[in-house]
Amino acid sequence: MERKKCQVLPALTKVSFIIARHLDSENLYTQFLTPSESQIFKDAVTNFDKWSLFITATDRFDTAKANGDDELPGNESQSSTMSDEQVAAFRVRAMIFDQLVPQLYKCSKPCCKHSNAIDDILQGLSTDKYDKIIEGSGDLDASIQNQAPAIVLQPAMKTISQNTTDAADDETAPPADESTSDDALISPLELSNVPLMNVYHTFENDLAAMVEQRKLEEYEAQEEMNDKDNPSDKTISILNANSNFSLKYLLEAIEQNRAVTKLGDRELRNLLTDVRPHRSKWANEDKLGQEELYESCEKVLMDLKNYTEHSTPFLNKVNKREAPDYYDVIKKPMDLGLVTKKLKACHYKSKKEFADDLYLIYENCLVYNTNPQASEYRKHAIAMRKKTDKLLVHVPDVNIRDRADVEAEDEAEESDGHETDESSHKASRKAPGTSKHLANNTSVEKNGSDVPVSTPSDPTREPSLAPSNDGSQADHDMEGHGNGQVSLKGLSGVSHTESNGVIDRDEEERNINAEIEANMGILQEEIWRDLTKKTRAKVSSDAQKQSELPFGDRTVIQRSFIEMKRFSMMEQAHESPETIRKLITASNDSIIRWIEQGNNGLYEDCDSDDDDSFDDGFLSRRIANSNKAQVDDSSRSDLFLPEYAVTSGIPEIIDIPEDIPDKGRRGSIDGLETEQDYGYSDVSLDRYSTVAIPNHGTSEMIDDNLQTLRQIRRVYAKCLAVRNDVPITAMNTSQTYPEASQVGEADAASPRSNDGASAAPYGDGSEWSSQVDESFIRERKASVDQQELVPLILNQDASQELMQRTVVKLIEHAGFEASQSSALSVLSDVATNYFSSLGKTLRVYWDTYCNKMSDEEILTHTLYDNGVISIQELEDYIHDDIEKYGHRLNDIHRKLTSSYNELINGSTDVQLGDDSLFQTDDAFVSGAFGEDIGEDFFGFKDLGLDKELNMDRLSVPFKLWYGKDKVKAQATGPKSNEPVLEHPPPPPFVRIRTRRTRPRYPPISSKTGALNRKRPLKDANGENKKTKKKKPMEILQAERAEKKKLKEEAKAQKVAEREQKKKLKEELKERDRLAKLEAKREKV
Amino acid sequence: MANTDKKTRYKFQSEIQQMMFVFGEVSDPLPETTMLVEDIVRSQVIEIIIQAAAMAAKRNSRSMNAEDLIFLMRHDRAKVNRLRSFLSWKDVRKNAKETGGDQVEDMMEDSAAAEKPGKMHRSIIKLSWELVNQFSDVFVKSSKDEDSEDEDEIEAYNDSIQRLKDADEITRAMTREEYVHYSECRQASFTYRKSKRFRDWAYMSSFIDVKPNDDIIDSLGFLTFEMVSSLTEGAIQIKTDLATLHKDESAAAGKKRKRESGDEEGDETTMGLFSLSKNDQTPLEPLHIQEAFRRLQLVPQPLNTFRRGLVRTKISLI
Repeated sequence: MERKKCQVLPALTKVSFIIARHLDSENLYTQFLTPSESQIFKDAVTNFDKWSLFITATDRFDTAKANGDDELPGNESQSSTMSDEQVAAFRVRAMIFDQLVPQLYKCSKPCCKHSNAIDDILQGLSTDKYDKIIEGSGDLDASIQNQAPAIVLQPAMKTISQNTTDAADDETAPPADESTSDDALISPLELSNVPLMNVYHTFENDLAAMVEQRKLEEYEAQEEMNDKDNPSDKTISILNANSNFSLKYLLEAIEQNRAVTKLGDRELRNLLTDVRPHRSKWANEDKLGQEELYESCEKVLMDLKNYTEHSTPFLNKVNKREAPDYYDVIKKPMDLGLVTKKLKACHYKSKKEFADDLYLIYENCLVYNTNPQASEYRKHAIAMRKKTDKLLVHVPDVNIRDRADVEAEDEAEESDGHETDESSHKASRKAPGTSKHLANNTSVEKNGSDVPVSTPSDPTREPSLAPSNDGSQADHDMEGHGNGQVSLKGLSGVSHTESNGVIDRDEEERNINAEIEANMGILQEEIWRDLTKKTRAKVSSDAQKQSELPFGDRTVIQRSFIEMKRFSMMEQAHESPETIRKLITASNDSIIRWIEQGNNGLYEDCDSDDDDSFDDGFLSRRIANSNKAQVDDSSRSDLFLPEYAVTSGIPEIIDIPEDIPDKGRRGSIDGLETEQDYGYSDVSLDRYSTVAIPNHGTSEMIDDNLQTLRQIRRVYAKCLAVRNDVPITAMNTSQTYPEASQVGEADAASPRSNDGASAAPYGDGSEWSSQVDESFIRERKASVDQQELVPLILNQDASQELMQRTVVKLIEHAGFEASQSSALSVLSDVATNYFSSLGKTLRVYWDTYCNKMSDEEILTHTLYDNGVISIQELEDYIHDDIEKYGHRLNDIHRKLTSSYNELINGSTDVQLGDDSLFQTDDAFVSGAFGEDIGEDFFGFKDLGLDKELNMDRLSVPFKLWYGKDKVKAQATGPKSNEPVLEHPPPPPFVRIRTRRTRPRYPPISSKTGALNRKRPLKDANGENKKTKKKKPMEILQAERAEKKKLKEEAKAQKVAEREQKKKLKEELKERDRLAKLEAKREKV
Repeated sequence: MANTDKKTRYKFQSEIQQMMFVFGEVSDPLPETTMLVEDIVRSQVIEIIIQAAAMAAKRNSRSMNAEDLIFLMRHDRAKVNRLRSFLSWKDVRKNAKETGGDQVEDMMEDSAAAEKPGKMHRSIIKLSWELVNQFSDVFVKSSKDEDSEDEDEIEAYNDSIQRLKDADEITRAMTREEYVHYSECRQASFTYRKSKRFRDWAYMSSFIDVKPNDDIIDSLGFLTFEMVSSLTEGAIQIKTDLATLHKDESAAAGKKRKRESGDEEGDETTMGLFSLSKNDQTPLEPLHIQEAFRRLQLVPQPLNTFRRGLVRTKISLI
């Protein structure tokens, strides 16, 4: 061990020397070392030889110490005294090691500048040396561990020294060093530092804090009660006099002198609980009442045992030799010895259990010894029972319960809100009589409250120290410091000094200062505890209250923006305790204000800019509001304690490169909201080629079938529309209906479904809308491909989604148009279950039979066990359910289109007479009303269309309304192996975004709109009709002439369009006929 | 006593015997076997009736129709097809009767001659759960509708042709008397002209309130025929399997003589002067039927794999 160290240490010494030089130049060492130590350090650091001596000397000493023997007698004297130099060396080493810590645990935060400096130094060294450093530091670590007894002291010492520097400066005469000026700069900082952040806090005190707080509140309640009631009415029974018979005499004395004291019952009881000898062997933190109960039980037991006159037969269990049949008669034997044993093992939960056991002894005795005359034992038993009766009176009837339970119950009882408590609390604290209780609390707490009383003098006493460096900074510090003091005072010590006026203040101060030096670290923690007691009590009682509730009723643990902001600011500002303190005590509003003021560049300017704005906007006002505000502030019960605001924390993510979050996370202003976004990418799974549904095999066939199915639905809808005489205006809605299937299909892939849904309403011609839909998707795909995809994470959600996608496809294939998401998820769960059991079966077969069976056999067996009796079934499935199904679908499609054509062309004219058409509100649209009055409304005659098209009516031919779809149906239908159209159909219309701007003029689009408007429109039609019929011919004609002009102009465009379409239709019709003829010929 | 009891319980012994003979069993099978078959068939019929009645109840109708029956066996496409074509032919026959032509009777009887179907207009039951029929309401009945033939029908037709061919194969070497007997047996039915007996036999009245119509009874008869067929064929298969297993000792001969069945193994084994003919076939024993039934019942339940607890067992319909 020693040799090894000798080998390594030189390098380490070098490195440490360099670091030490750096620390020296930066004056950083003053944060770690006492003045005297820093003197030694400075001496040592002047040259390397001295340094190595300084360091290795302690090393030698350490090893000697570690060996723990008298081998080096020369050093022994040293070890006993522990010279200053050695202590300094320890601490210097600790300091240097501390500097290296950031090297071992990287922190990428911009604020940690120190480590960067060291970093630079280490970068300057050559790599091999660096390696050695690492080795050396490891070794150092090891050596430190080896010298555990010596090093254990270090942390404590460090914290002490951190604070003792200034404390010593203030009170005792500072050593005449050149470092004092430096120290002076630091001291106020350090002092303001005291109560807060640089302590490690644990939660274990919270329970105590809660209980204390509750006591306080209870006490206040009592206080109020005492004000109302006459305290003398209370009897001693409140104090549980009977139960505490260890304090019998004290209680009696108190009772006698009751009138003399002013104390209320509750206070007395509190006092008594304090006075009572604590921590007996029965005491248990978690078992309430155990101490009390067992104390008295033990006493009872002892008394009974000592009642030798009668107790002897019951001391031990009955000997079988004496009474051979005893255990036949007595099923539950019991004796005092056993009771003692049980008591020691803490088996008893209540007085009753204990008493039951005791009585059982006598009961057993009486049961076994039935002869009242002959048996001595009966007498003994009866006597013992009497004695027990007597003694048990004194045992308090306490049920031992778990602390948690009890407190929860208590909490429930205290139904009144915290606010009222708090106000009363504040009010009563001012009352002089109460201070005694405060003083009586604990001696430790006394310390805590005393210290701040002494300290306010510091900044005033040495004001000259402050402005040494930067005026504003110092001012700022002072203010902060002052705040701290005031608030501390406000919390705990206001009335304290008054009531304890007996003690000389100076003397006390001196004592305290001595104490400060001794245990500053503990003190710090005490102060922290004191400051935050209320908050912690509130938090923990809240937590407990929550834990009472069933899980469903608990309030959700939620992240809130402000808290997170605060947390992150604290993280960022962890170097300046001042800011942190402000952050902790600030209310939410002020935080918001602060954020608003200085939200640009929070991290960069955290120290300078934000502090200033904080000061200006918030703190200064606070100060102006004087003490009261401060007291309010510090005693607020909703301090922000980062230890408790766990949910606000944002774990530091180191390994994510900078550019990916920029892409994946949108709107990352300050990295607060982005956390939720991370891991959830809104990129649809569709875009990952690896998980895409393959476009070969059955999937392709299924896709084809789906395509046909959709076409079928469309044609079917149109057929229905024609047949049921759906008005033209309603066609829009009916046409969107087949789109539902697409929505259903796209349901699983979330963003796509939006597209599908939004594309559907445009469905003027549903055919192209789907085309557009697809091309749109393709476009999007392409655009996405250009970007980089976030890497696919196949987690449970993703795979669920994928499974759902497949299931959706199959569902649609089976003929469903949409499904509820719950049904979908159930189905996909079933599918998942099936596949996983398939996999499991395969696994089982594989594990057991892989030597005996071929792969095919294993596979067949697996399939059989999962319901596929033979491979043939799978083939059948493909053949019957996909291929044949497809044929059948095509068949239907063909039939549907043909019957649709027939509906449009021939038979419907009969079916849909003029009258029926006239009933609808389409009369105007189709111009049918004009026919009624023998007028060519659209001017078909003028255009010569009637001859051209052989129209027998002057309305727009019926087929034209629906005809457009027919074109599509034929174009896509199975019969479409005709020659390509000479004139391609007109390009699709420009998509219109909203329905309102749709040019068609009964502007009824949505269903509700239709409902609302249909009525009046129809009425209007009716009226129009009537009036027109009544009107004389001349007027009508005049009107018509006018209208004609207008309409013709307006409609010229439309008619032209229609004409074109008509031509197309004609061509198509002819082609159709030809095709049919051909088909017939073929058949023949 | 026992005899009369048996008589009351088993009413279709002769029919079963005939059917089994058609499917390859000896002409006089063991009475235990036929009784077992009858028990099985009856339990199956009862099960079918119960389930179909439940189905009808789900449709909110008191009387069941053919669709309810078909729905129960919708997974067995071939059977569904057969049943459908059976029903459609029955429909044809009924229509023809109403119009009063003997020609149809002839056609039915000569069906072995494989007359081309589809000459008469047949109404085929539309299965409402098939997607295809969802859209059929708008079809315009046009005379030029050339595609009357469904693929299913074609399949059913091919299937029946195959069966007839097999039967033809069997009967080819028969003597005249044998052939007469065979064709008589082929017409054996549980329900033909004895629907009352059938209803009583299956305790139908206790499962359905409304008296089922002829269609139902006839389809049930058809199904019982199929049941006997699958049972017998399965049992024969099992028997031959067993025989090949114990080939050495299986020389023990049955005394019953089987008529002619072309599918006996060759006679390479030694053939003494007094040794029994290879064509001799032993009748099926109940254990064969039981095994066949067991196999038919053995349906793997995929979703219960790895999580099979106490699951209610169901009779799977043959």
